[in-house]
Amino acid sequence: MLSEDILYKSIAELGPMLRSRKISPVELAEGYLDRLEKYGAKLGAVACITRERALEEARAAEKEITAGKYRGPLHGIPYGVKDLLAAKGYPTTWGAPPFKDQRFDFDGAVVQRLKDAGAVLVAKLAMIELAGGGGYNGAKASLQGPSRCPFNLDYWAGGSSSGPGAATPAALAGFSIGSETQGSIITPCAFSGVSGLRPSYGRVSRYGAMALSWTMDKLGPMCRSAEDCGLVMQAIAGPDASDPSAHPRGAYRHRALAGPRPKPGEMSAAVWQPLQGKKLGVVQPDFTRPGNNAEVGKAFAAALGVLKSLGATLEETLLPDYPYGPVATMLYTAEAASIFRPLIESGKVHELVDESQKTGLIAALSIPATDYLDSFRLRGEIQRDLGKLFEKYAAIVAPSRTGLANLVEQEFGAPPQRPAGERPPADRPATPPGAGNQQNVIGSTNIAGLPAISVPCGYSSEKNLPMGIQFVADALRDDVAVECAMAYQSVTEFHKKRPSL
Amino acid sequence: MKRMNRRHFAKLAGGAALAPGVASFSPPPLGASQSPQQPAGPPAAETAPPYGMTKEQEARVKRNIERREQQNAALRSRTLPYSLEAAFVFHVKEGATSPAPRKANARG
Repeated sequence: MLSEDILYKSIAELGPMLRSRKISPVELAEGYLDRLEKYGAKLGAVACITRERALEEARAAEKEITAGKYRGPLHGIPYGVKDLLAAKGYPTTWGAPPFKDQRFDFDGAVVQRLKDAGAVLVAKLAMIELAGGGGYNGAKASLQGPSRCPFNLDYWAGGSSSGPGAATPAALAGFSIGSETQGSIITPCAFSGVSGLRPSYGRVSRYGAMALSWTMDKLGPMCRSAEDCGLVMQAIAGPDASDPSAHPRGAYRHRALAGPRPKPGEMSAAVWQPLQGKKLGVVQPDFTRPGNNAEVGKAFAAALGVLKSLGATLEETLLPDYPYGPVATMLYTAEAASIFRPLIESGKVHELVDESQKTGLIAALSIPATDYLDSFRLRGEIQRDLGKLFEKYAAIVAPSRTGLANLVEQEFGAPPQRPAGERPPADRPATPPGAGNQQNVIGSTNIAGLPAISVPCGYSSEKNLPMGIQFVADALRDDVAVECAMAYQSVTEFHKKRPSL
Repeated sequence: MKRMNRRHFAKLAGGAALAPGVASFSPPPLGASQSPQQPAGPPAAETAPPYGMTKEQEARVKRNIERREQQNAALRSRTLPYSLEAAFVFHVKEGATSPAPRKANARG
């Protein structure tokens, strides 16, 4: 039986151990399957454990590796997928009761590509129902129930990729696959201490994935290090005729960075300086505003200090002023209404868990086409103006989320619980309309389809809740975002912190 | 197996949620922006809410639409240049009767 120390290792560390046959793919799969059985329900992380398939794939990997046919860094690595991706023969519930018995007789493109890379599917992971497309009101908006932050089980793992958020930092799998339309990878990464990449739009095929928004959905890796995100991207990115959005130049090559590459655990800024001389634009939120958390502000400031020490030049910047929130919401809710119209019109929408989702989807049927089209016209301008930032900066840096995770029991609409002595929002100056636009990193960059990676940058003092920093890069420069995060993680340990379960 | 594209996949999966015997519903609710003039008719209380909604859910939908209308004020207040097209492009697909594409290395 493998030790917990091994199961918490990154892909970059496990790969060489598998290749040199220090550990066996079957042992490794069994180790994660056991943890899924033991902790999956406690964390609310699991939709379905794919034990039979996992052991079959692990045995095949073992046979090939033993025979000297090594497929690459994911060969024999167990992983989980958000339950919106089809996996042949297993339930694919989309986190929603109306689809609880749904099965597909094929693998989604990402699952197929990971199979081709020799990875081992151990679980379908929980998610917010329908990826939250109707607008949900809390952590419980899922067929699988709430997913919990492994570092504090009273708090939500973040969503809508909530299962990957809960499972990955708790070492229930080697890595996982999540999806993002508007914050669904970045948020669980921030709230659960995960290193995760939201790729450029069109870089990873969505064939076989639930559609929420044809023009905004992205699939991406959620891992225990930024380097692992690069390794997974190498396997899953690239053109695919089955997904009309797939970019012809979508292939991703994970590269060794400048300078002599240190071995895992031996990373040193002295020999490895990918940020040296790079200029980063910093979106600095006002942490005194309601909803923002001062501890996140401190952790972010400390992270900026680390980036400076690695040779980066930092310059505060603002995003171009557009109504990102309304534009993003318009785009994906209108598309979701079209996609789920059969669900709504059949009345099955009432089987959804969350009341806000039901009424949100029904309300979305009445979105005027002119508003949707106007949003699409603005989208072009947003794309152009955000692109200009990358003429000046290698990447944009911002907190992944400006607040901490919500309590599992707390509805989003309810007033937040505050530490003793903290003033309620009414005592603070009101936020002027539109003031948040130029700091809305998640909304703006999802509209423009830009890549972003979120990595942990601290844990709150009292509740031990993770906090994250995100690096946003120019379109199809996912490698730059990964490189920035790898540099940050080369001199920090936040991504290695283990939860006590 | 023949691969289907994502739009077909969504349609297939959406259809999977349909159960036989589900009652048909009234037309969709109209948002404020779509119902500038309502003809005089029976009081609303006599009409069942569409999509099998309860009265409470119908009220939530109305609130949702009102909130969206407020949020969209920021969107609608923008003057979009006449030349600004939507950020998607529709391509024609060459069919059976389209002229055959010329090969790059074709000669005379």
